[in-house]
Amino acid sequence: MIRHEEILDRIKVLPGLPDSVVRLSALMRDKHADIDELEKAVRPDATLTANLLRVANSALYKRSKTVESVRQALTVLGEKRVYQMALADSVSRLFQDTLPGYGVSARQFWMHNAAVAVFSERLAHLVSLPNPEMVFTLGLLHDIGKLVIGAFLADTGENLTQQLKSGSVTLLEIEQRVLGTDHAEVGELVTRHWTLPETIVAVTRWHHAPQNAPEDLRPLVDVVHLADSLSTSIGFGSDIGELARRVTQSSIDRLHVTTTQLERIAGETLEQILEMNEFSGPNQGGPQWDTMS
Amino acid sequence: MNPAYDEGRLYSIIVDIADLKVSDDPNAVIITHALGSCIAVILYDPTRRVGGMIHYMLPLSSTSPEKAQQKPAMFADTGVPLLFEEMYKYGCKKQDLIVKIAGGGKLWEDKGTFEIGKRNYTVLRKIFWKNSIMITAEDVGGPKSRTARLYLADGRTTISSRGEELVL
Repeated sequence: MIRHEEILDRIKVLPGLPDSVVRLSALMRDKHADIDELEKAVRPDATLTANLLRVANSALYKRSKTVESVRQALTVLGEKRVYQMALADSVSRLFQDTLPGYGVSARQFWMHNAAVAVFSERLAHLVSLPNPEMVFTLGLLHDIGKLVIGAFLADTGENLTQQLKSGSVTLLEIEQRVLGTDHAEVGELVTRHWTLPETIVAVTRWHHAPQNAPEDLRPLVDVVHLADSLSTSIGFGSDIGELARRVTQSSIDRLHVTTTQLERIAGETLEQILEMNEFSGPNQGGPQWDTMS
Repeated sequence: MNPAYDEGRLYSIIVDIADLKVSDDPNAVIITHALGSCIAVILYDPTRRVGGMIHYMLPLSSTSPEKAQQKPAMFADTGVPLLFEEMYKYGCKKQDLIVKIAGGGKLWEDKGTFEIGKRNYTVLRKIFWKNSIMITAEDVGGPKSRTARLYLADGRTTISSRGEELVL
């Protein structure tokens, strides 16, 4: 068991969410934000600028001329993609080290979050939620609590893999058993500490139990829950829990999602996920598909 | 054992998701990681010592015909025939091939909306049945994420999951 104070101490030493995430999220919400403002938000950030230029010049966007400026990258990629690349880039800076306790490298953890972000946006679009682009951000941050409790999980010295093998227990339930809390509860503390919007707080808190989310935010939580399930099912950034998790049937019922729709979303977004993994993950340029075993 | 085989010189050939690889280098180990609901079909010709592997993601190309054009290895119905064709280019014959499969894992749920793994498996069985292909060994299903390895020197195939490795 860990004490509440220990968790709070750990949250205080987390690097803050980069300013650019907050700024860009605000710009994304603002329908009147123009390309100048976006350019202004991106340009001071050298790493981000370099990454955007790499993407814009990659083979995916077959261009005869080299893209050399943020403005040109905006034209090639479109504003929405630049927002998302920028957000992804900023958030991924939090994921620089191997995540202890969960048996995943920084890169695998990033891959999972990237896939959940992309799937969430597609699902939101499919079920006609307003602002699907915003839902992308929710997907990116849903597992942020793991950054805090990973070290505690590792320190318990318990053989979690053995416990997972012993029956129909999920990793979330094991977190509760050995720590007295789980990454969803801690995710709420982190997002509140960062004073993020209620939508992000609700998604991090309830993404494993959408039925408990406040009713007005529940569709968003349903979307991220299903995106998270799809990502785990396909194998994007599998942790020691592997596929041992429960899908909430009421989320499927509320959104009326079919197997074929899920398959189409998975197939049509693969390239985007791999691209995010290649251009904005930790240890850029490393192997795309590293091992956990 | 193949005379060109040198254990000190083993190297990996990685099969990404929606990808396939074939090789006849005895020092190669073909590997794919993170098979959740996806399936790996692993082929080995013991007479020619040629091996191949696909890591497909979805059962049917009809879900996204455009993607099937760009990345046929994404789907069972377009990718698996392609894997066999690649093996034939090395002179392999269908009747000589040892066929193993791994993956097709599943989450816990009530009604099967997320049973992509099961659909991946069903479609594969149909393709094999139509083409009179027998499966020699398989490790499928369950709440597992698997890593598959094929050693080209002797066709040894291993599957690891949940900290354990089994020889298939």
